[in-house]
Amino acid sequence: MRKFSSFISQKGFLFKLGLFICAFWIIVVIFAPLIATHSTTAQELSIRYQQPSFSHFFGTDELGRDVFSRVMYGSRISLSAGIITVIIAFSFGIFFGGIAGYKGGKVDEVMMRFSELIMAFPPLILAMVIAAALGPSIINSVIAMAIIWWPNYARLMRSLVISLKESEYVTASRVMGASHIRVLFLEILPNSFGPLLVMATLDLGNAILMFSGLSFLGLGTQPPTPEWGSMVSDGAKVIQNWWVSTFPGLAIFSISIGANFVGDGLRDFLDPKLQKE
Amino acid sequence: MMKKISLLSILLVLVLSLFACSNNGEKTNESGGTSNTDTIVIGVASDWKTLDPARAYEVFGNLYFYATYENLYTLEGSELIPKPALAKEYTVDESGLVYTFKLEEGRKFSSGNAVTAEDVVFSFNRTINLKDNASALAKGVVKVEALDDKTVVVNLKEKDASFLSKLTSNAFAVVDSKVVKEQGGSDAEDASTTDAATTHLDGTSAGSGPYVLKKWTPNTEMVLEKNPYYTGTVNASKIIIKEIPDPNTQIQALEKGEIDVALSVGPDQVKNIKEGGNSKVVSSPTSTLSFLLMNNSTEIGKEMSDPLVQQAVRYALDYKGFQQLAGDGALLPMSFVQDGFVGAKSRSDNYQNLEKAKELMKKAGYEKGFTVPLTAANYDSEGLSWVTIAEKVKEDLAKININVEIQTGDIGVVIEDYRNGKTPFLVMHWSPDYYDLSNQLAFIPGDIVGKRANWEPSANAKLVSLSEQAKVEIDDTKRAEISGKMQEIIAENSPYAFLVQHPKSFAVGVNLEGVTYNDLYKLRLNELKLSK
Repeated sequence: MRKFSSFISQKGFLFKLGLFICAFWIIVVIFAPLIATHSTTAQELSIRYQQPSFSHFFGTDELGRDVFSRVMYGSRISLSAGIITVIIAFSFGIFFGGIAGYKGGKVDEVMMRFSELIMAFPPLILAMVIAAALGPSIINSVIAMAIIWWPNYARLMRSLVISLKESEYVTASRVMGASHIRVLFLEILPNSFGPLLVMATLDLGNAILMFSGLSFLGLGTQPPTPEWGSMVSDGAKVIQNWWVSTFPGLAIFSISIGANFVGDGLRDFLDPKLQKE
Repeated sequence: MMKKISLLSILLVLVLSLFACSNNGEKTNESGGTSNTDTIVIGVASDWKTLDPARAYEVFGNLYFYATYENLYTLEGSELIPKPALAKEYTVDESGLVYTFKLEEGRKFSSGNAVTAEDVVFSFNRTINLKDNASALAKGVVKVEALDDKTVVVNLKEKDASFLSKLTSNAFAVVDSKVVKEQGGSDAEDASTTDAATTHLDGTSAGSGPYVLKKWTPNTEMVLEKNPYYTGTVNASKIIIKEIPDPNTQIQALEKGEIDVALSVGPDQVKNIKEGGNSKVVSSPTSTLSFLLMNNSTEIGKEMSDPLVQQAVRYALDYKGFQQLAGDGALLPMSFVQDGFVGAKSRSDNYQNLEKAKELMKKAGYEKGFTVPLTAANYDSEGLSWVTIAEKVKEDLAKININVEIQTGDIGVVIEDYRNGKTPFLVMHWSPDYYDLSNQLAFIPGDIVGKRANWEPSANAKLVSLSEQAKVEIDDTKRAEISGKMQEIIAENSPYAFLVQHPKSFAVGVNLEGVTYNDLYKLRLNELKLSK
């Protein structure tokens, strides 16, 4: 296997750009209190809707709050919501799909029909229904998104398990007396990690996008939490004051496209078929 | 390769969307010509559900009904005092229960039929017997009779100081009884099941107003044309009302000259309209009040049910800030009676007092504060979002150590809980159904809003007795005095904090004249005039 560093230098511009964007946002998440110039909630009605300037880089919103600071702090909420969603969906998905694929037969049938039941609904609509039923909050929208997302991982894991469970090293460890659990999680899982990781990276951007969508619709965070989706929603009412919605919108755009570029590049790196080309 | 394709497709989407925008602009420019001074185009986001005056109960209802129908009494200009319209005059007997109206001579419906007392009787009875939303305003009417062709007698159940105000709403609009009967209309007691004229009235009007309805496509467009039999002033012979739900789109359409009035916009959208351009801003007071409700039930309201806390909240709020958020022309009434209503008083300039508020919190035993959920629906009053109001309340109450946790919700759910009195602390608004003090008495303990705050009549017997007087007192000076007393009590001792009386801000083309906003009917369409 080639080294990752040489891979980066060989890969195209988009992968590097993606890495750069993700690194940028991770730094922002960690150092948000240092980067932000103002409080995210302090209101000052005398400076409502100020244009971007040196004192307010991204201008101010309806209540005179600093949009720049809110966008910077907003990264903490959006990124953590996205990452937690993917982790929950990932863990549950591989567990569910792993058992279905490994057991096969009727167990597989029932489990997979159940996952298809969830996939049959339009994802955003189902997430909205669940989030609305649970009540708007960050945790509830993360739960809602995880519920609609895990079947993707379950299906991928199942197909990987089915193709790997007949392989020689699995048979060898079975012959040596390894338990089913050991075979599934210590033999098969590590060998199917690549494709799962690619999927998770690609999904991260989508999860952030959907979380912003839920917040835009008022189903995510509660005000005055600085969240990108709800900031875009606030600004959409006063489109003449473009800066209120444009900057959080750009933040959502950059992080989701950055995650996608990285995911694309990782797939190329981990997929042996593509490497030969 | 894949990446090139995806980049290309992004570019393609961008180019296409630009193309779509410019294409759109051209198309509307061709068709939406308002260069014709005889046609006025109005952009609104209306809430029309039906155009049957005996049923409709919507906020924008009377924008249409005042254009196509007439009432016995009407409102004029921005005032809320009823003036004679189809009626010439009225007399009321000593009991205060029997009103006799004399009709004007020579008024005709758009069909050419003369307006007679029979039409009035039919219209009133139809509203009462249809038992639809509009019937609520006609509840106090016991009997309507025609003495002769031009005399109508109305008998009331009990004395009602607000009866003339109620007469100005669409519930009492006079319809052409001959036409409506032909179309299956009925004013009999079983009208709620037998009447079939609503479909007809949704397609064309049957009134004596300045315009006739030519076409109505719900949520899209309404076309009105001049009523040939109307004898008053009609400036534009054709009015087109376009549904444009997004306020920003309305402003853009106005600046491009596609529409002459952008009616459904808010203070933040009109702020960017510059002087000397194509359009100008009109601001006018409305009777819409924003208030906070603090539930009086200890079980539901918890800390908020404490009268000391309620008064502390009133002292802590930054009313000038709310005035600023509501936009130019916002007013600060003392309590539950809006400016324009009988005996209305304003809040004193230096009402906010954090020291007093903190003292009261200490006295109530909450010096260290507490946490309370504040419900705010995703909704707005005249362009000011309730969630924004909630954010401002949170900021203000943090100063007296009350930690507010905002809970947003769908308007339907929030209203449902509000009506059942289940919300501890809530951002709400009140928009009157008719423009009289009697309507505001809903805030009295035990009345509609009072019940929602779990404010029992026993809590303030004085207020209850004052409100009984206000309902029946016909003398205006005495009524104003009673109104003032009630306002003073509610300002200091009630489960409400009245925030701001909203202005209506909207924009019109610079060459449009005759624009006077009235909260009941918004605009008089026949008074609008394009100069050129």
